[in-house]
Amino acid sequence: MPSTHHLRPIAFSSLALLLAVSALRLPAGDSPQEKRDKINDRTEIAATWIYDDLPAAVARAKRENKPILAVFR
Amino acid sequence: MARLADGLDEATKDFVCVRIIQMRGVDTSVFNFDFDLSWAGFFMNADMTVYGRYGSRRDQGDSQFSTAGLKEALARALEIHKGYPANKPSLASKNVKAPVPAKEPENMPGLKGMFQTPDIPKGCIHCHHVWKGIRRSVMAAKKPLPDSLLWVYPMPDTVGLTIDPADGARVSAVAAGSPAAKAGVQADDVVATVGGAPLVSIADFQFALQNAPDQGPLRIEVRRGSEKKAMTLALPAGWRRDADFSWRSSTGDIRIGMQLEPLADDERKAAGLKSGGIKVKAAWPKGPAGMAGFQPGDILTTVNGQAVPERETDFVAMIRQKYLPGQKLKIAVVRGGKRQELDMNVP
Repeated sequence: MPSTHHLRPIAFSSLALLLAVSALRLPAGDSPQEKRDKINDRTEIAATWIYDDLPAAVARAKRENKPILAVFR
Repeated sequence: MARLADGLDEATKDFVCVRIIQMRGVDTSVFNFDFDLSWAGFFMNADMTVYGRYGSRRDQGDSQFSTAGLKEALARALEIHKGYPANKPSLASKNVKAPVPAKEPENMPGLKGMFQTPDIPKGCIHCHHVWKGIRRSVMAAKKPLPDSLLWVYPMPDTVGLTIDPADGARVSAVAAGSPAAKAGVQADDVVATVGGAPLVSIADFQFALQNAPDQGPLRIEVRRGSEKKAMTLALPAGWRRDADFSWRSSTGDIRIGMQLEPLADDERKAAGLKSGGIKVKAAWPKGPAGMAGFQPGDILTTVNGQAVPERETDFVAMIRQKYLPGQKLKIAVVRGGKRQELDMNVP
């Protein structure tokens, strides 16, 4: 991960998302898709970022006529 | 709750933001970027038309990342979205499908069988694995690696342009004698288009360079004050090769099992060399070089009679462009002042 101060806000956002996701305490037995769905059902997260679900992002972008920002990290 | 700092919340509010955590199932012909990065962004329409990209890195670190530059890129992408689809033809060069061996990394011949489990993180395909998959697929087909798969995603510096990372399009310096200088680009020019497509960020320029010919023209347009000027960068043969790719984690796969470092002048002289030569920094005992008997401190002087270059980048390129996997190498080394030859097969 790059480490300059320029990137800290970006890193912070990812950390915040990670913490929020971790706080969900998802059952260990959930499949990746079930985990995604549960994370994205949390409206306080889904209001800002969609977690690992490009089709969901595409659907929302069509519905709201917005462009997509897809971040690979 | 996820929140962005430094005004990025405001800058992203008009976007649907999605974070992709790994590459399994991702169409790499569309989502093609510098896979050695640890942060890469795409701005796009819901119909998968790419407006632009963000995320760049050079060998000396991550100075190309900038919150200000990301805000600029977001604003430019939003302008493109407002003009879409009328402006779709102008985005053609940004939407060239990358020539990948399979769209999804898990289906690339070079990665077959490596990621069988869908469980995360056990079966997680990282971004840098994609380069491995693409390169291994070429090598498995018994072909040399082309320049475009070694010196990947060239920075604009490669053609003589230094672009301010806080802006993403403004030229801060032009190298004398470079293709950019010969084309007439000047400091403070703002690059408006590359290959006919509007420039959103440095990463956009890199995408255009990645898809540029090994030799030939690349059209750009710059804004200078109130004027727009069309220019052509004449890319000479071998234009990608000044860059250093040895920092890339994905290149571990194309080395021959050793890490190399430059020679000091006195070391070169002691080895009887006037130029060239490179020193072994590490040779993994169970890797091909370690098994062939290479040791840290060995000075490599020739490969099958051909002089060894001074940079690790050029040594790796020499091996991967002149020889194919399975071919025999006779490498001359100087160890403790004595010359000897070691044999190995290209892995």
